[in-house]
Amino acid sequence: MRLSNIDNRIIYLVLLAILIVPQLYQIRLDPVQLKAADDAFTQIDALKPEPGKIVFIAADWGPGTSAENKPQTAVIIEHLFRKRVPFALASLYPQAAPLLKTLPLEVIEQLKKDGVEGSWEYGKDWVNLGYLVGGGLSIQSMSRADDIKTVLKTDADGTPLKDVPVFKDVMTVRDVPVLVEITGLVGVFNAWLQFFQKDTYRPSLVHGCTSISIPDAYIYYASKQISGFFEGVAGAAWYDTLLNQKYGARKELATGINTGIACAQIFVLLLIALGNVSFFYERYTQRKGEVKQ
Amino acid sequence: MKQLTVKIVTFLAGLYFLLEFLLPKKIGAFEFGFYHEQVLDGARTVGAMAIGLGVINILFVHGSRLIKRSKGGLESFAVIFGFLLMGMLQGGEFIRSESAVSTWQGFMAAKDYLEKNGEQIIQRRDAAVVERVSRFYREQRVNLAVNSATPSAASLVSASALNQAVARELELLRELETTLDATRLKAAVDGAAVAGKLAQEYYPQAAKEGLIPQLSNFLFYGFFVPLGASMFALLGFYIVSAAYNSFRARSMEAAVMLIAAVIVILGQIPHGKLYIYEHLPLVRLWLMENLNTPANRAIYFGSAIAGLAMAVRLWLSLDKNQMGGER
Repeated sequence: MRLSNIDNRIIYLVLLAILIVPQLYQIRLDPVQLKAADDAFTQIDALKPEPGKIVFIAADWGPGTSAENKPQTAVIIEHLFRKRVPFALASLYPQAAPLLKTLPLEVIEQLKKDGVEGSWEYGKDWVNLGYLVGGGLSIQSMSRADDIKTVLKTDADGTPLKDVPVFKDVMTVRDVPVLVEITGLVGVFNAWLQFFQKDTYRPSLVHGCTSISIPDAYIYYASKQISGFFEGVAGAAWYDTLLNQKYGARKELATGINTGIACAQIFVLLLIALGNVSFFYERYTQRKGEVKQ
Repeated sequence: MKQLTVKIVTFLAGLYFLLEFLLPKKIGAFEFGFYHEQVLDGARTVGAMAIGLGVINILFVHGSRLIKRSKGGLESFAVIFGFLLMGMLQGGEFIRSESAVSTWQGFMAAKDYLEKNGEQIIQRRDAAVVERVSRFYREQRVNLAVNSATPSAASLVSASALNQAVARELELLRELETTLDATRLKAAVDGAAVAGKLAQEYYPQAAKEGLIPQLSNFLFYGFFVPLGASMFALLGFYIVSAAYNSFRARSMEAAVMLIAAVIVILGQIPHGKLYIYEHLPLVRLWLMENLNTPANRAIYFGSAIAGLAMAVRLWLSLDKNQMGGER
């Protein structure tokens, strides 16, 4: 078997082993410090619970990108829970609807396991607005409204928002200090960026994207249209570390996945090196043969 | 005529949104976007119709393949079976949750009704109002007895608490009917508020129990979530294989790209002691901010201008395909 001709099946098997072993043996590698995630942390950490104000989390992701987007959403939710800053969860993606219900409960369970004191109650600490029908049109309607409750009307369970304590005093987009938008879909982030604003007011935007969209997100980060963002799961892993630094030892939500991906990326680098070495070696022997002839 | 109608509607719709964006909110007393919310509702309705078209399309394409027993019939069967199964389960869940919402909202409405008609009850000595509210609670008591005949452990507590609250409220209403005074009215309103709060907790919870929601959850979390994740994971395997087979420095441009890619990957992964250069993450950041961003912006501007040209063509119905013309 030549170096340039390794069977794909062998590559797949090695990759599978590389992904599984860190999870199996709980291997953890410290994530790299990422400035964009630092900025996202600073933005969320500066928030204080204020009556009538709510953080809006647009979790526009489904099962396909949950490996990257779920840890991003989870660390933000944990941070907000710890700071007692109320938040609203919503999504423009129908497949996200069931996950919006379960994720805050999973985070609460983890917080309890970590020994964090206190309790968090639906309606008082967070509200699930569910799937917003109409995509960009829904965002436009919310932004234009003098009372968002007249547009959204109820939460995901059908409770009128005027009866949900955490949302009853929220009137307009001006009452949203930070919008967290996490997605693996094309075009969704732009819709929030474009329409979620009122007159001259635009909430600070924290973004979470899959690794493949990082180059796109940098455009808005460089222009300061987003104040911080998660560069794939690596960003969430660094956020994990920042939460550890602030709140002490806790179960990390993203570092494990990031370690697995990092090992796979090292494998990719090795394969690229291997492919190129064999490529140049073959070209060298080919030229040598031509010279001899 | 048909084409002309489509052209006129398209033009007017485009013109409306253009003017809505460009014009100030108010020109004197005139507000151009006064009915904008209704217009957006209309746009949403048109979008919802597309779902119907999609359903017809799926059934037509896969149904005909199944009936004709042509190649891929088994896959088509899987599509139709999955579609119908999930459609029925989600439909069932929707009906259950809607019924739960209307039931607990009924409790709230009963409380509001009692409160609103308080004056009538006391001043006009109108016991009929109280009787109407009592009838509602009696009906709910019968429903609760049926619904909580086989309750799960989770809903048992709130079901019995709600039962007690309804019984207590019926007692309070009976007292109010006998003596129509402000004290008893207040007690009945307070009791109705307690029952309403418990109903709001119980009914949505009860709607999640039973075979339909369980089966629906099983299919979503047991099949859909892992299958969706698997589809995305396949991409990862494909990329690794492509990196090995195709990512070669065959030319100067490819070599530059390869070096940039290696720096970006190395600057992002946690390789701890393997660090080649401790400032690698900063080099990566510089690459992303100073080389990637301008290049990406240029691409975005280009595609935005192309998108604008395309939008104008659609708006003015210059595109033949849109009008059903030949390609």
